[in-house]
Amino acid sequence: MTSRSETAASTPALDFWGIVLGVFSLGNFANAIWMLASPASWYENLPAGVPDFGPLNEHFVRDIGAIYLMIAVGLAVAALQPRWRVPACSSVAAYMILHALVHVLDTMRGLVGPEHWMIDLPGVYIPAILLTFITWKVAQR
Amino acid sequence: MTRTRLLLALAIGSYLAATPFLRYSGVGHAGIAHRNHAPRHGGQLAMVGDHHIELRRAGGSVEAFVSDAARRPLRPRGGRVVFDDGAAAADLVWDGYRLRAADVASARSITAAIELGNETLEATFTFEPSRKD
Repeated sequence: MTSRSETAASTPALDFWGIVLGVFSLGNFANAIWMLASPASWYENLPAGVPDFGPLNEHFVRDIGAIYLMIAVGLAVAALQPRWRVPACSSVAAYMILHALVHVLDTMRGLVGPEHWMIDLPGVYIPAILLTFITWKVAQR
Repeated sequence: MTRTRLLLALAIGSYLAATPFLRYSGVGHAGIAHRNHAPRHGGQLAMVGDHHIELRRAGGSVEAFVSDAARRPLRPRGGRVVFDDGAAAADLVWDGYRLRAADVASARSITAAIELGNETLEATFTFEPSRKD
């Protein structure tokens, strides 16, 4: 027999964190589609200063686009299936923290100028911290 | 869920979703013009006034990437490349994200004249002979 709490946990539900993760998933989905469909356009036009990190490699942009597509899928699953939130959010948060550390390393070693501390703050560092907080919050439930 | 919590959830989600796509005024490239002159496409970079032209020879083509003072990409109307002071020439045609023309493999210098708005940007690039020459 399935208990009431188990049934609720497996039922798609858009509660507070479901909405946050669902909207976040849409952003990642849009970013992924842009990378996969038009890597040169993404490289040149993303406001995050991607060309500062090196020349365009369309293959690698599409590789990363595939990662972001899977992140979008993971966040969508986390939004709709509360029992998958902790593993899905943990995985995405781990990626975002590692991604942020790569930015820290590349800025510290001078690959990009010090202006990237500010460029990357709202788009790389704060989202990594925020998603780590969200993961902690959903793990408490 | 109350309306306040719904709006808060939408706001947090929208922030997380939108951060890569927003242009942040006051930070980044607007304030770092003329600092970074490194080629970004594996070619040679030249400045014409406040504009940057990067010329790359790859796969039998000459490719020209044009950007403004802050390295923001621009889309020129077209242009022309002249090889070795007039030995040959070809039209530069917009192709996706750069101008492109057929290369003359033996050429040692290429002068690119690029039509951007009402002005023409012109720069000459020289290339070392390849090892097989």
